[in-house]
Amino acid sequence: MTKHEIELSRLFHALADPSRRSMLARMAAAPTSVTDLAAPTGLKLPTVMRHLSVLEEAGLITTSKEGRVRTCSLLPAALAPAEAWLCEQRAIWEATLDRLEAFVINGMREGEND
Amino acid sequence: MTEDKGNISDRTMIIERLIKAPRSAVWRAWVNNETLPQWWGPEGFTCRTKRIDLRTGGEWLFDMIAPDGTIFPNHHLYNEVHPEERIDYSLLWGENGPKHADASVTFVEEENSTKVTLSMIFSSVAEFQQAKNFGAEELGQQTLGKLERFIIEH
Repeated sequence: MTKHEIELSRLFHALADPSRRSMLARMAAAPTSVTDLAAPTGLKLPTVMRHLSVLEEAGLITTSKEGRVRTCSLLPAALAPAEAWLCEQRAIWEATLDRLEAFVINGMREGEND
Repeated sequence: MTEDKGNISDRTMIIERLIKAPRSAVWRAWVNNETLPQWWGPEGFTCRTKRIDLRTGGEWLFDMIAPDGTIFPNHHLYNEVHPEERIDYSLLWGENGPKHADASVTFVEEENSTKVTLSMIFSSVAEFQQAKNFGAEELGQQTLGKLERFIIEH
């Protein structure tokens, strides 16, 4: 497994949790304080902090502290590697089918010439 | 895009190809110890087979070698082989390594040609896909919605 693949797993793992996705959705609208993120979830603050650290480790958010307030912001560019990876996978499998097609067609032509 | 009803098949990457050849010819190119390594992988790649047994419960253990000489160890497990119809297989990173994807390929005979459909569920994406299947649609038009559409449409 490549390092890139491990990073992608971390990214998709971060996205797989509904609490984390709803926090991301709020941050997508505007940078949000940890307290405001926690309020509608009904989760205890340490739990919220754990979710936020998963998002931060996946590169999906960044946090900054001003006085006593920690604010979390979405980094939409973090999704680009996931999109690029899926594009790359598609290209690999298209190219493999190209070769299957060429192999079968050539094989039939050679058969005709026998 | 049609909104998904929790069907896993809508959550995979699907690639279709119409090949102007009879189904038996396409099948013979794939399920054949001699020919499969000759065409597998993108142009310029070669395969070095260590073990090959393309039957239900069989496997293909091989190195895929890139044009620049980089070696990618691969291990495919042939979970189900239904002659001329369908193959279900798993792709592992190296011998008995971590799973990269679950894949299936179907062969459907059409007029003068064969439709080959390759569908893949990548392990790194599976957990996200599974979670989305439990109706977590709260992201609406947000960035993740965009990613989700990307996965489904491509």
